Amino acid sequence: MLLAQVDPNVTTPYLLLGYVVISVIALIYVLILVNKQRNLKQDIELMSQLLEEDKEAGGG
Amino acid sequence: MLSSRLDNTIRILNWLAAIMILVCLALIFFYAPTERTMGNVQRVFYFHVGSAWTASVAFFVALMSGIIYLIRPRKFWDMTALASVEIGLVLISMTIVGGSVWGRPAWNTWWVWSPRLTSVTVLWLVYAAYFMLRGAIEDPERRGRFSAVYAIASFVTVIITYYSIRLLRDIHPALIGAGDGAMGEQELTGKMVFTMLFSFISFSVLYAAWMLNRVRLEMLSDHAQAMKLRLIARLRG
Repeated sequence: MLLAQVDPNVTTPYLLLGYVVISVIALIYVLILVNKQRNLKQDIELMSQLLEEDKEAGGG
Repeated sequence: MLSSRLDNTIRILNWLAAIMILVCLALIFFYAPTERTMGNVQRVFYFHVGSAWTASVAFFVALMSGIIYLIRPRKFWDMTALASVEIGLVLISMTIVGGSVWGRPAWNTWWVWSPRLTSVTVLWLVYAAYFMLRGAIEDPERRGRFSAVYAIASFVTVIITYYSIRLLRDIHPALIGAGDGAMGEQELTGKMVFTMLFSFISFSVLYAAWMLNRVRLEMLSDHAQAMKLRLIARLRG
């Protein structure tokens, strides 16, 4: 490992870049989960409606 | 059916995880001291190690879920293993990318094929292949069994990655118990240790939140699938 004394601020851009890329990965994963959940809930709602309509049509 | 109690628990855990990560970031940027040799970039350490530790926990949970599934083949354990591997893969990706960015100013390179970095790459590929395995098997019971065995066997890559810097010479520093091969051991002050431990806890809470969210997603998916089959049966019938 390089053990050189540095001005702490010289490496700050890399610090920010590091946290940005880490956050982007986490954010992408969270958005994927949110999107999948929303789509599934919509599908379930639609199918519930269709089942309900089919039930009423069968009874009527 | 999914309960509102589960939804409430997930909601609380989501908020708790978000708050803890924000507090952790505050500690990292305003509380932890600046490391004297690497400067500010060393602060990546707290998320780098936090995510690595939690990824290992996630893969261990997948291993345990696999073992339990083989003993009692319940779908819940297959779901848990799947969720845990997925989250572990996301966390280890964060570790690798964060470490690479840190490495650029510290080692003057974005990447080096050292024992630690090579073994973590192998780890990533092995766990990524878990999803390919699942995608290739249609029968749910067989898929669960094969996935369980794979998750158990894959954990050896975590052990190898952990010990790589302790058994072989490596540019990557050792945090705990450096062996003769490690080129340097991290020296942490009290504030750094506190921040690191808080990071571990924050990432653990994040993992728990993501796990519940992911398992709930699987349960929703199962529910949707069951409804689809009912609908098809009704339309045919």
